[in-house]
Amino acid sequence: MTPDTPPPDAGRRPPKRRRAGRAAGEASPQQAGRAQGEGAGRRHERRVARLAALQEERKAARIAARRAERKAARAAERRAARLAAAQEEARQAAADPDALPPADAPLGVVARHLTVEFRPFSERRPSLRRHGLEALRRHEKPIVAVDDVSLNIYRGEALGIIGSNGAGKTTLLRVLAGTLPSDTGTVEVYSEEPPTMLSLGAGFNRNLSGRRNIYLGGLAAGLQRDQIDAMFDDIVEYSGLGEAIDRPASTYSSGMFARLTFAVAIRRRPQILLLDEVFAVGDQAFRKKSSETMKELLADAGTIVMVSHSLGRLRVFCHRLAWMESGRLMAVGNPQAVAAMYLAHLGMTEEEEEDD
Amino acid sequence: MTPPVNCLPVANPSPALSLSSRDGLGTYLVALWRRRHFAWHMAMGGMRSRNSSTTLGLLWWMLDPLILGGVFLLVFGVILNTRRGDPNYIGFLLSGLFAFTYTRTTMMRGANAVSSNASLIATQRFPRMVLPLSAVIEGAVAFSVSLVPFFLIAGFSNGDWPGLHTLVLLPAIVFHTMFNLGLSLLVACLVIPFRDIGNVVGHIARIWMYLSPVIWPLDERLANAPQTLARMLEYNPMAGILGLYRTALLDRTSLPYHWWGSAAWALGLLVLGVIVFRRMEHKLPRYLT
Repeated sequence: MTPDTPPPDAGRRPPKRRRAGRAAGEASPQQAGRAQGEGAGRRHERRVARLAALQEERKAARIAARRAERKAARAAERRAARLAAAQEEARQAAADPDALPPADAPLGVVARHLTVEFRPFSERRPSLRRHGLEALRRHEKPIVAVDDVSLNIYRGEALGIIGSNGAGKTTLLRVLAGTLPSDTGTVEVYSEEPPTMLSLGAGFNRNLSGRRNIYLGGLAAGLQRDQIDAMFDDIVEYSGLGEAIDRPASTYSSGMFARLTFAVAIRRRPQILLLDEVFAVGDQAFRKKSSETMKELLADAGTIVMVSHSLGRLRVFCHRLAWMESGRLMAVGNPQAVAAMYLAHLGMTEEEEEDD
Repeated sequence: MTPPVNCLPVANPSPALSLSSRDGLGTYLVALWRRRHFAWHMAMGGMRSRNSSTTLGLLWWMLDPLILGGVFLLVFGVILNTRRGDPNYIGFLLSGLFAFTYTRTTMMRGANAVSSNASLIATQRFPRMVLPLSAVIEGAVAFSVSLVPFFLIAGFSNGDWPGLHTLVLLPAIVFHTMFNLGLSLLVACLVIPFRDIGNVVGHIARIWMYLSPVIWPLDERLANAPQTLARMLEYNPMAGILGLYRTALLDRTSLPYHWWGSAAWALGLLVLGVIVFRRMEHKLPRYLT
């Protein structure tokens, strides 16, 4: 028997001990000797009392279990009611003209009826064997990561996307970036260049120097070599790496590396910037600098779409929030209102959220 | 589901870029050409980073083919005595070996080109052909570098210095590179849905080398072989390409099938690779998620 398997009677320990106790009271020679003076009636009484106590205990446990069940059912009901209320509120908020940018705001990105489905069996863990099986299992149900999402994103606005894990936020962002083709729907970008998606370290090579990484990252992002030449000094200065720029990136701290990749992405002044969970980069000073740069970008009629779990930060920075749940867009609008709905859906109070 | 109120179509006069439509082949190739520096930097960055922590550094670009050639010379030239009276066996072996290494490198790197850059594919929008292309560039640079030790060895051992016949090197490299690009494109996209291919690529490269005139000339060995087998080995794409290389590097006479064989294979595989890759390309991000 391996050491980590529990003994077979582990679950039945209390009754066994009880039986042992009873056996000791009746049959053990020493106990019998000590109990010699006691009468048989008293022994019987004690046994009855013990049995009665046991029954009482079991009854109480049954009642407690039933009570807990009812409580859970009530909680689920309340949750469903809250969700329904939140959805209703969301519909109203979406219709609320105050939650929208001015009607004449120019469009940045228009997404129409986007749907993305993943077939987990055949596509997530592909191999020859699974493809052979796939032919037999066509009926397998796909996972709908993005479910009929339509969204207008305007120039000069910061849009935050919130939602639980697996709600389809990152998938939506990748569709907006044009790196993941959607199954249905269209994305139209009102800009000369496709949106820039920033995720830390994509296209960078840790074994190369910071200098080479700036070229590699910039070229990966679609810049031409002379464009990178022109903005090279600016990127180095912005990243604050100084002399370290000629050292291999493997010697950088994670904060330094993050600053370098952020600098490459932001100093090209993208018109539409998509951020996936990379809002907080580097130390406090760099964080301040980066959020100032992002505000400049917005003032310059740029657009920022960001996905984050840090609700507090999104609520402060974004002009509108979009809330996604299991692939669907639940609400878009006023950050305070949408954040409140999201928290209500989670069953959390604002104070609980602030603790995070 | 009706779209939310704030998604009603708004008239917008500025020209839009549609991310959902796929480019035609022409615009695709233009976009690919615009990304040529990216492909080059990826290739050089890959080569540099592989040797970044070694003491000899970039000298390994030269040392690697030399050691490879030395091992094969020892095993096949000395121990097994495959030379069979060829006075310039060293030149014969090294020319075949270095050229075949070019194909093997692109095939192996091509198999990893897409799968090892999943985060790049998830976040950046670019013609994905850049990735297998950079694998070919890497192999081409390594092959060009290995020509230096080749000429030194062949020149000093047998007087095979570059001459007029070396001009054949140009069509040989062009055909060979086209062939390798097609191969790299095919392997790079097919290995994503069928990961099993990645496990076989190395073995295929090895058996392919022994069935190609790398270590021994086919004509001599095939005197007693069945006619069909001889034909099949002649149609081996590497037979024609290696024939051209030996004309260029060792001034040996080239047979007609060296020319038309390598040209046909180069063109055919490149076209096939481009077509298959273009069909697979938009599905790649799904497999990599």
